[in-house]
Amino acid sequence: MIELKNVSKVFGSGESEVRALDDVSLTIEDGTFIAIVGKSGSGKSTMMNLIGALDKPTQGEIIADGQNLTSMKDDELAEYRNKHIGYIFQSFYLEPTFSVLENVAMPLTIAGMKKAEREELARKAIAQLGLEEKTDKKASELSGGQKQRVSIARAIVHDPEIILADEPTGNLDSQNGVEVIRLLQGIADSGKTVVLVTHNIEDARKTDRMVVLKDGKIQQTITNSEEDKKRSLDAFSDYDESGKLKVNKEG
Amino acid sequence: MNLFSILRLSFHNLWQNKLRTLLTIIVLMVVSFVVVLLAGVGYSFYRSLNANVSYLFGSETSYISVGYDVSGGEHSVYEGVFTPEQVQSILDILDNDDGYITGIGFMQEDPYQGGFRPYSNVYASDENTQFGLFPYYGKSNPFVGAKGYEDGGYLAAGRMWNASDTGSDNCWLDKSVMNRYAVGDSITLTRRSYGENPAVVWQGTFTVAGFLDMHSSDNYMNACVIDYKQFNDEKAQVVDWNSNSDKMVIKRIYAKMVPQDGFSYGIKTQNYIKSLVKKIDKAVVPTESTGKMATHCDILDHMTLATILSLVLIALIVLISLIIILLSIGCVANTIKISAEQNRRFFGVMKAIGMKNKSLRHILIGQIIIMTVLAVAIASLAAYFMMGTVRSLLSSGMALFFSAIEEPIVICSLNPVIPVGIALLLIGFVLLFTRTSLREFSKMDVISVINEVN
Repeated sequence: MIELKNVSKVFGSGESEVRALDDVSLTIEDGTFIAIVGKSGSGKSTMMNLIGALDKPTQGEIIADGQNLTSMKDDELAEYRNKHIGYIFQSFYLEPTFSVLENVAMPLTIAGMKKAEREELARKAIAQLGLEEKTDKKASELSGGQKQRVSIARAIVHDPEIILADEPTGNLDSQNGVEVIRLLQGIADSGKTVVLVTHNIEDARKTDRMVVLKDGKIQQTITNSEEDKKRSLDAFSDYDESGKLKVNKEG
Repeated sequence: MNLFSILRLSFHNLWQNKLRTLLTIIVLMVVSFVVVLLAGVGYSFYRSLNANVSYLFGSETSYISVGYDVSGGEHSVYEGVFTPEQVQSILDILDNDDGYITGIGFMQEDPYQGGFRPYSNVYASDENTQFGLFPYYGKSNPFVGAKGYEDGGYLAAGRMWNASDTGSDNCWLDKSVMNRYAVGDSITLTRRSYGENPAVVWQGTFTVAGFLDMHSSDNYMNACVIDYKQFNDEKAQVVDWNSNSDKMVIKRIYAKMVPQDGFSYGIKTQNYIKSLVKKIDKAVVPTESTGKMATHCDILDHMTLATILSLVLIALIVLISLIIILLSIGCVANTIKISAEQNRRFFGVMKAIGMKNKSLRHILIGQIIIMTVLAVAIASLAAYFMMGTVRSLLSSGMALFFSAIEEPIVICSLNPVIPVGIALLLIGFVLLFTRTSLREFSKMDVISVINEVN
C-alpha cells in the first residue's frame, strides 16, 4: 500500500514559488490499477515522481509498504526503486544499441545479479509480453509498439510491487495504445499496483480508479465500474469549466 | 552492480563515440611512449653509471684511503707508514664489520715509482682469507691481498702472486703468466722470504675462480679470483712480519663490500665507507707520512659525483614526465566530461530504475581505466619494437659517458613496473582532476533528465 499523507511539493521560493502539489493525501491499495489524470501543470507528474521515489516532498510523508520514503537517503531511494518500482516511460527510453534481452535485464544488472540468472528472468518477462522472437534484436530495430512492450518487460522483470507508467501510450497509435493498457490491466490483475499517469481519459477509464488533479490538489476521485471500463470512446469528452471531468448521463 | 557490468557499460559508452575515444587514446599513447622512453634512458644511465663505477674500481671493491691526512679532509690522503700493530688494528676494525665487508686488502707503495723503502711481510689471514701480503724482493712491487667472500670466490688482486712455474720470478704475475690459466685451473701461490736467496715461507694451491681487469697495463697482471674456501684460518691477523724494517708503507686499503642499496655505490655504501675511514683514521694514526699522495682517485669522490649525476638526471626525467602527463590530463578529463554529458539521458534513466550515484561514477572511471590501460599497453609495445632505432640515435652520445658496457641504452618498456606505474599515474591524475565534476554529474537531477526524455 502506498500512502501520501499531507504531501506538498514546492519548487522555487518567494515570488517564483510554485506549489506543484498542495497538501495532498492519497491511499493506493495493493493490486490497484489507478490513473492520475489532469491537465498540464496539474501536478500529476510531480505526484508520480514522489510515488516513484524519484523526488521527496517538501512537506508530508510518503509511506510505501511500511517504509517511509521521505526519510531515505539517495542511495536508499535508488535501491528501493530498483527493488520495488518498475517504470514505463512515454518515450520508452531503451538503449538502442543493446539487445531486447539486455534492455529488459537492465534493472537486474543494476542489482548485481549474475548473468545467467538475469537472462533467465529477462527471457520470461519477454515471453510474457509475446516478444520471444525479438529477444536478440537491437532495440533500434523495433516498432514503437514493440519498444513499449520491451519497456513494460523491463518494468516487470525484477517483480516489483509497483508499476509506474507515465503517459505510456503518448507516442503510440490507438491500436498499440489499447494493447499497452490491456497489458497494464493484466499486470494489475496479477496483484501488482499499477499507477498510470495520463491525460488520455479513455486510458484512464480503463483503470479501477481515477484521481483527478487540478492546481496541485485532488479535485475528485472516481471509481470506475466495469461498465465504465468497457465504455466506448464517445462516452467521455473533456473536462468541464471547473476542471471536473465531464461524464455523460449514463456515467 | 558487479565489476563486469560496470566495465561493459564503460566500454559501451566509449564505443558510442569511437572517434573521440580513439583520439583520446592516441594522446595517452604518445604520453606513455615518451615517458617509457625517458624511463628507459634514465634507467640506462643509472645502469651504465653503476657499471662504469664498477669497471673503474674493480667490481665492488672500494678503496678506503687511509694514511696520513695532512689536509684535514678525507679525500686528501697521503701514504702512511704503519707498524705491524697498527696494521693489525686496521685489520681488526675492518674485520669487525657487520658482514658488509667481504674482502680486505692492503696495497703497499706504488709500482711505478722506484726506490721505495723495503716493506714488511704482512700476512692477513682468517677463515676466508685468500692469501696474504706477500713480500717482494728485488724491486718495488705492490700487491694486494683480500679477505674472503661468501659466494665462493672473491677478489684477489694478485699482482704479487708467484705461480710456481715461473721459477724465481717472484714479482709481478704478469699477463703472460695469467694467460696460462683458465677458470677452474689450480694455481700455486708462494711467499718467499726477503733477501737474495729467498726461501719459501708459505705456499698454497688454489682454484682459479675468475679474472678481473684491475689495470690496463700490458706488463702487469690483473686480478685473479681464487676460491677462498681453501683457507681455514680464523681471523684476519698479522701473523708474519718478516721484514728488514719494522714499518710498512700502506698506500691504500681495499675493502670488498656488498653494496647496500640498488646502486652499488649509493649513498648507503658511501656513508659506510666514510664511517670506516673515520674509524680507522681515528684508531690508527700512521707514524709518519711518505709525503706522497694516493695515486688512485678516492672512490668517494666518484661515488658522490655519480650519485649526484644520477639524482639530477632522475629529477629531470621525473619533471619532464610530470609536465607531459599533466598536459595530457586536461585532454582526457575533457573527454570524460563530454562523454558523461553525451550519455546523460542513458545515465538518467539508469538512475531512475535504480542505479546508485556510485555506480554511475564507476562507469565513468571505468572509461578512464580502459582508455589508459589500452594506451599504455600499446605504447609500451611500440617502445619495445622501436628500441633499436632509439638506441642507435642515442647510443653515440651515451657512449661518450658510458663506455663500460656494450649496450648502454636499455628500453625498459617490458619491465612491468614502468608501464604499470605510468598507467597508475595517469589514472590517478585524471581522477584527481575530474573528481569534483564526476561527483556533481553523478548527482544529476533524474527528473529533469526524464522530462527531457519524455
